[in-house]
This record gives sequence, C-alpha cells and structure tokens, in this order.
Amino acid sequence: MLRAMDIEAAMRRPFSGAAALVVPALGALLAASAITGTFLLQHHEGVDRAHELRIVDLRSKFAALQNMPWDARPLSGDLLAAQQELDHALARNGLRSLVPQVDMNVAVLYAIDAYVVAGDTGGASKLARQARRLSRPVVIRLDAAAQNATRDARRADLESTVGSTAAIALLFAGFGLVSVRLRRAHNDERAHRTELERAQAERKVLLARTVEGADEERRRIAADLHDGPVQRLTATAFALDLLANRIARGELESAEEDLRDVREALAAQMHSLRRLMTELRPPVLDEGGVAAAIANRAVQTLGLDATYAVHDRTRAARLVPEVETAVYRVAGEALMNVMKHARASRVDIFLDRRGNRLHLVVVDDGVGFDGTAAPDRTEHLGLEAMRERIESVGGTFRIVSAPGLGTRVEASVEWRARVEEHRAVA
Amino acid sequence: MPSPDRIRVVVADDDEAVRTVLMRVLVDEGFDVVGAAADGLEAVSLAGELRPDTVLLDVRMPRVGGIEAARRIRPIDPAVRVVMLSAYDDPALQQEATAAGASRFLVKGCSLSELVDAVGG
Repeated sequence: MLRAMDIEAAMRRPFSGAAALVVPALGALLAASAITGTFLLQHHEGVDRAHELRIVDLRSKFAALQNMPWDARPLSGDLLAAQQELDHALARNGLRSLVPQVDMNVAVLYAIDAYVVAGDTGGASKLARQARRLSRPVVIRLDAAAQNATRDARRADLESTVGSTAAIALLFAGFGLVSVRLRRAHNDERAHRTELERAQAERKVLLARTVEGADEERRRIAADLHDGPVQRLTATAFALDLLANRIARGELESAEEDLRDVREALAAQMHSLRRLMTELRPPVLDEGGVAAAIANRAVQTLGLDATYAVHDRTRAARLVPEVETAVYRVAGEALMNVMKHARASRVDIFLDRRGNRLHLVVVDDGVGFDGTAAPDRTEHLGLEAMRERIESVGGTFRIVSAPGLGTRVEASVEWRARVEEHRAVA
Repeated sequence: MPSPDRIRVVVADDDEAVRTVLMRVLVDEGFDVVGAAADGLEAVSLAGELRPDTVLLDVRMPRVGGIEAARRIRPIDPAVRVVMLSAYDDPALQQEATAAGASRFLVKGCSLSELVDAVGG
C-alpha cells in the first residue's frame, strides 16, 4: 500500500489530463459510497444521547470534509484514520472477512491516483474498473450489518457499530473528496483548454476578417478609380483629339464648344477625385475631430434638406487617430445605410462619453428591417465592415432594428484621449 | 491604313461618356459606327446581327466582360476584327485578350492615331 505522504505529495502535484478517463468509473464507485455513508448515519438517529453526540460530531466532521476548501483539507490523515477505525469495527462486528476487501479498495484508490499523476491512463482505467467491481459486495454487506445493529441498539457493541458507521462515512467522504479533486482539476483543465481554443479560433476569424476587409476596401478603391477618374480622363483625352481635329479643319466655332465641354469634364473630374480623397481620409477628421467629421459626412450623405442632428456630448474632445477614424467610419457607413435603405424622416447622431468609453449612436425613424432575418450579402458585408472597424480598435458594435421601428446603430470603444504634441518654440 | 469609309464598327463600353466620345471620334475620323453596346452581351448580339468589320470592346463591363465577349464573337464571325480597350495596362490581361481572339489591345488614354490604326486594321 502507498504511504499517506506519497498520496498527499501525489495529490499536490499538477493534475494530469489522464483523469478524464478515470473520473467516470471512479465517480460511480464514490457516488454509491457517499450515499451509503449518509444512509448509515441516518439509521442511528434514535440511539442514546452519548451516541447521538458522537454521531453529531462525526456528521459535522463529515460535512466539514465535504465543504472544506480544497487546499485546506487534511485528507490523508482522516482517510487513513477512518480506514483503521473501519478495520477495527469490522473485526468487532464479525465482519473481519471484509477487511482485506476494504483495504484493497483503499489501496486501489491510492493506486488509481498514483497512475493518474504518473500519466498512465490505461493503468488508471483498469484499476478504476476493478475498484468499482470490488466495492459493490463490500458496500452491500456493510450496509446490512449497520442496519442489523440499528435494530438492536442496546447491544454492547453499539458504539463500535456507530463508530464503524461513521468510519465508513468518513472513508467514503474521503473517496468523494478524491473524486471531487480529480473532477475539479479535470474540469479546470478542460475549461482552460476550451477557453484557449476559443480565443485562438476567435483570433483566427478576426485576422481573416481584417484581411478580407482590407482586400475588400482595396477592391472598392480600385473600382472607384476605374469607374470614375480613369473613364472620365479617357473621355476627356479622346475629346481633346476630337478638338484637335476640328481646329485642324478650321471648325473653330464647334471647337470652342468642345473646349468648354472638356473644361467642364475636367472640373467634374477634379470634384470626383476630391471626393474620393476625402472618403479615404477626410481632412476635417484631422482638423476638427470626429464629431465635426461626422457632421460633415451627414451633410454630404443626407443632403442639406435632410432633418438630422449631431449631439456631441464629448465637448469636441480629441481621441487617438485610430479610434476617431474607426468611429467616423462606422458613423459614415450607418449614415450611408440610412440614405440608401431607411427612408427616414429624421436621423440623430449621438457622441457621448460614459465612464471610460466613447459611445456612438446613430438612430433613425425609418422603415427598419427584420434584425433576425439573414441580410443579403452586400448588407451583410456592410454590417460586418462596421463591426470589424470598431472591433479592430477593441470596441463593440450592436445594431437593433425591426420593421417599421427604425434602426439604431451603437458602437462603443475605450476612451483613449489624444496626447497633444508640445512643439518647441524656437 | 485602309480607308475608314468602308469600315463598319460596333463600339462597346459601359461608361456612357466614353462610349459617346468614342463614337464621335470614330465618326469624325470617317468610320461608320453601326452600333453601340453597354455590356458584353449586347456587343455579342450586335456583332451577330450587324456583322461589323470591327468590334471595339471595353475589357471591364457588366454581365459579360470584353474578353468573354471576344471569345463568343469569334465563332459567330471569324473574320471580324476585335479590338480591346482597357483601363488596365496589364500584360497578363493583354495575353488573355489575345488568346480570346483580340487582334489589338489598347490602353485607355492611347493616342487617336493608335485608336484609328487599331480599328481600321
């Protein structure tokens, strides 16, 4: 048999994952044992006062063992004492034949734990199965003996019966505690592993989304350049060729008209390029901050006649550029959605500081949409782009909508104030 | 260069301003612009219907792009001259256009003489 110190030392070592295979079998054994122990104690409720006190004492010890914090529990001492007392009681009650079996049960339990700590899953499983098989007749016979003793409460060996009952309870409590320790450690390890796997999976998804988002943005910019400036300049270049032909032929009147067209086309092109430039990085965001940039974006997107209001409760505070950009992009996308889909009569944009967070809310009174239905791919990408924008700076995103009830877009991000640069004055 | 007077052209570009100016320029240069398409499918249809001498195709168009349109036009009229016009100056794209049956690949912004030369053959 292993020594108590060995057991304690083994139990204090880091837990091995091999217990996963052992705990179910061991649990079945220990559950049966704990139930029997409690049952035996309950059978002695009617005995003499002294014995009642003894039972109360042992029951409180039993309960204390069950409730004691894991690290503070003097397990092996109680377990070994209980085992010795049980051996004694078995002998007194004519159940000496059970002693080797009880001892074997305990030995097997210790061995299981040693195997588990050593990482030998196969050995631990095999022993756990043996323990389960061995425990069944022992538990049944002990239970019968205790019930007989209860019926003949005046017998001289009552105390020893009570003692044996309590000892069994303690022994089983010890079993239960070992089981709890193994199970807890196993659950902790499994929880940590699950949490780690979840975090890794989330990180992978986020990274993929970020890459996809960046690709999508590059594709959009390329498409904007292709469909806008490149086409306009192509048309302008050919128009100049046409103009040159007309001048060469002396058709000056029509040439002058063409020249004006070219001039207008170039002006329109400049406007288009400026808008693209502003979309890429609005200068007002750098100069006036996020609230001013959102107000500017609202005018551009919704038009001068729209009813909207920007409620800036941040006192135009300046945050670090990445936060301002992310919040501005989310607000811009939300305003674009209002313009395209909402058919709203009013839009309100709130910027607010709550504690250590900046909150953005864009709310409209438009047609809304079914927030539970799957959006089409374009809408899905738009919503995902907003989410990714804000999550990329550690923020959170939420959209609430229902048909006929408007839409509310919320973003929240840590308040990270911009540190003003102190320029040295020469 | 052959006389543009006898050359019938279909112009295909989804950008209306580019399409219009191309038609004006080609007409001004003496070509007979017989049809205009806003996408590749329309271009294929017009090529089959009008039997032009040359089809001028923008590469990037909705529904069916210029390269796929060239691929479909070739079996309809193996003699037709296909000229691709692209916003991208990309050798790989040029190679793909040639494989699809384009005889010339022009980059948008090319000179008028290059355009006339390509369309006129």
